[in-house]
Amino acid sequence: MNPTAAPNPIRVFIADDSELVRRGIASVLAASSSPRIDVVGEASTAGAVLEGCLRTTPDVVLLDIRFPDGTGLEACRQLAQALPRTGVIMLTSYSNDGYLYEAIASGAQGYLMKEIDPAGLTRAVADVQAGRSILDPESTARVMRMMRTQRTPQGGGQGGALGSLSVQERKVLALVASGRTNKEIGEELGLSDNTVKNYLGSVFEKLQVKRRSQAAAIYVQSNPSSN
Amino acid sequence: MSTPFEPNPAVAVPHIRVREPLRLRFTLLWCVLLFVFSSSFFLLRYLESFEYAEAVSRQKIAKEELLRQWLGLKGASLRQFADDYSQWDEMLQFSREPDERWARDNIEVSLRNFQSCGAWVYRKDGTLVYSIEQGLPKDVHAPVLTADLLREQFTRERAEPFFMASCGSLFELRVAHLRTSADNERTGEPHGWYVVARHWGPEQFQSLSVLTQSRASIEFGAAPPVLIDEGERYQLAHPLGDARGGTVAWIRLHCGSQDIAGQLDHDWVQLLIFSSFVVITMGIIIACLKLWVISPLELIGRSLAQGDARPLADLEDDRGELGHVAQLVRQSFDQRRLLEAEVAARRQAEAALRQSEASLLKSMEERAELARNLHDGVIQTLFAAGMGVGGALPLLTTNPAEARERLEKSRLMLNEVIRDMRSFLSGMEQQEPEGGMAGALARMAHHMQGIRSFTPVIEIGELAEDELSTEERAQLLYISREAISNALRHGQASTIRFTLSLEPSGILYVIADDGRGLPKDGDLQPGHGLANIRSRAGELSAVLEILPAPAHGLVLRILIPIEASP
Repeated sequence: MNPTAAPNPIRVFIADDSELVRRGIASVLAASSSPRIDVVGEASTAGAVLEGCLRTTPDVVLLDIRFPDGTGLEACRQLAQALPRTGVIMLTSYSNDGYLYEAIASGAQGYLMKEIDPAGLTRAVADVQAGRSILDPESTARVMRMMRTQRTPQGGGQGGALGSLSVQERKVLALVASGRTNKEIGEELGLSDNTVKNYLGSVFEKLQVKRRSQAAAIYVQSNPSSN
Repeated sequence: MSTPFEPNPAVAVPHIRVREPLRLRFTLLWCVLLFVFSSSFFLLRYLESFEYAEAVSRQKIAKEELLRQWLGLKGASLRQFADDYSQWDEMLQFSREPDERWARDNIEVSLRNFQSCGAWVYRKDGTLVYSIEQGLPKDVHAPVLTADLLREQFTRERAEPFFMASCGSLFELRVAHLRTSADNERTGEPHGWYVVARHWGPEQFQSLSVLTQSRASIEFGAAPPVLIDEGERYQLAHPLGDARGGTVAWIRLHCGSQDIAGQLDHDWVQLLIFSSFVVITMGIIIACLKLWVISPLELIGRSLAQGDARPLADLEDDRGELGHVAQLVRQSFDQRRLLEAEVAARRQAEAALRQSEASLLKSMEERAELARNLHDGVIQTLFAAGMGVGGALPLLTTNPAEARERLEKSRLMLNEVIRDMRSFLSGMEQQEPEGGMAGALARMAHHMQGIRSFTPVIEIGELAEDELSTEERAQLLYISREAISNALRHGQASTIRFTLSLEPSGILYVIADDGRGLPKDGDLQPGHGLANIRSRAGELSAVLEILPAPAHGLVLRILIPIEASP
């Protein structure tokens, strides 16, 4: 199967409980011409995914996570077993880390946000069909960027450093600097793990760092006397 | 919220305090009883000895009286003999003209009747007219009264007999004046003397011994004898007077009041029996009290003090009253435990209620905040996007390029709205999968058991994981998936170990399996797997080492360096 030699269109199966979304995705895919994409089947429930795919044997499945009757992750696991050559892309509006890790654990080749632009979607479908993973180094960075830019940073530069942090963010950072884990910080402040992570993500962006250790270093440097 | 039940620990179970242990109190009581008993015992004993002394002295008086009466009685016959014969006309006649026959018939034969041993008749001038002695032991003679003595001592009538010693024997004598029978008043002039005597041999004392239950003896001499007085053994003495008013001898009575001593001994035995009975009774009562009352009560007391019903286990089987008490105590403990558990549960529930109230309040505040934010941000953006779409519509035919640009702008705005919404929704989902690597790895291993059964060992350091970004975690998970797939498909591993740790040089992730390891040629040929892993590690700027495991199998070491400062 050489994609460049084969003029065959890519066979795509769409599973989403919203008909509007299915239609939108189908129209975006149909509009693509450079890799030609055929939508060979659709499913509106998680239970119908495996059966539909077994019938249509698609190259790529675009799979939502939430269905009224179950989760796309379960369907993903079934597909990975029944049709190992079929690539699965989770196409969802969840930007939660947990779902991403769960998708990888369930054998998905990709994890996309629904707000991806049409070109991005067709490129991802083509990548997966070609046997590459969307979590390949280059595409991963793109996805991750998308997941991370939930909020645009408000404070500019490092000059204001801690000044740009909200009260809660400063609290979280102070606890990070004292060597606490996210779970411990969550317990201390009465927050969930994810919330702590969100605060930290925001802190990292505002301080323009990648690591807790770096953020902690900045905190200690500019605020040695603070608790 | 009003609580219908307000637990008050002070009221729930009263704390019982015993000031003095029961055992001590009973011991004290026993001592007091013993003291009272022994003091009454000794008081009784004292009173008895007192009484005894009194009895002895009464007996002394009685014996002295007896002795005196006996002496009087003894002397009475002698007096009668003397008095009757002296006031007899024939006797008067005999003193003038002594007649042997008359004396033999009248005096001699009467001596025995009056227990006398001799009789003498004197004329007024002191001439002895007649004398006779009878029944005396050999070598013993009655004393003879001289005419001088008679004249000196007996000119007047004397009622009492008197005693004289002669030849080592004691004699009782009676002197009576000879008178006419008509001289009833015995006041007339006496015509002579009639003297009778009695010999006091041992046989005389027999009746006295029988009468006084004592041995009697005679002590000659005027000086009073030294008497023994030792409680129940004592001596009494009575003087025997002579004619001149002095004392010629003493009768000594050796008394031993065996009867009183015997009674005293008897009393002693009685008292001893009574005492031992009392002691035994008290002992039995104490033993029973201890066995039936004190020991169980002490058990109950100890149980109450310790707040533990276990010591009562045996007592509870007792069907008596204290068994019921023990059961009651146990039940009270059970109830107390129940009550405490209930109170604890209630407090817990109250705390939970307060917490949930607080979180409700907080979530209501959050809702208000959310609504404000939605209003200020999301809805405004949606309006703007809608207006953009509206503005693009008329341009679709006239200026498609402009329309496309505006629609694209609207799409971007909508995407922004989605991101905003997502940030609002973050953390509000009920069943989000927890974002931990350990959980994801465990589930991944579980899903991949279909390829080949294996045991995953997952050791993820929490601080190391926190240090990872979302992208790094995703990549490590992807690497893990490739590694598991390789190890199971090509290495036939049965155990795979995942270790994430924070090292001084960076974050170290190690995947080690016990499979067959790399193929012999050492090349990284098998599948795309290792190549993919390598390129992902490169993307993370991590150092990848692929090593053969110490025994067999494969080890992947991925070190993500951390810069100390940004």
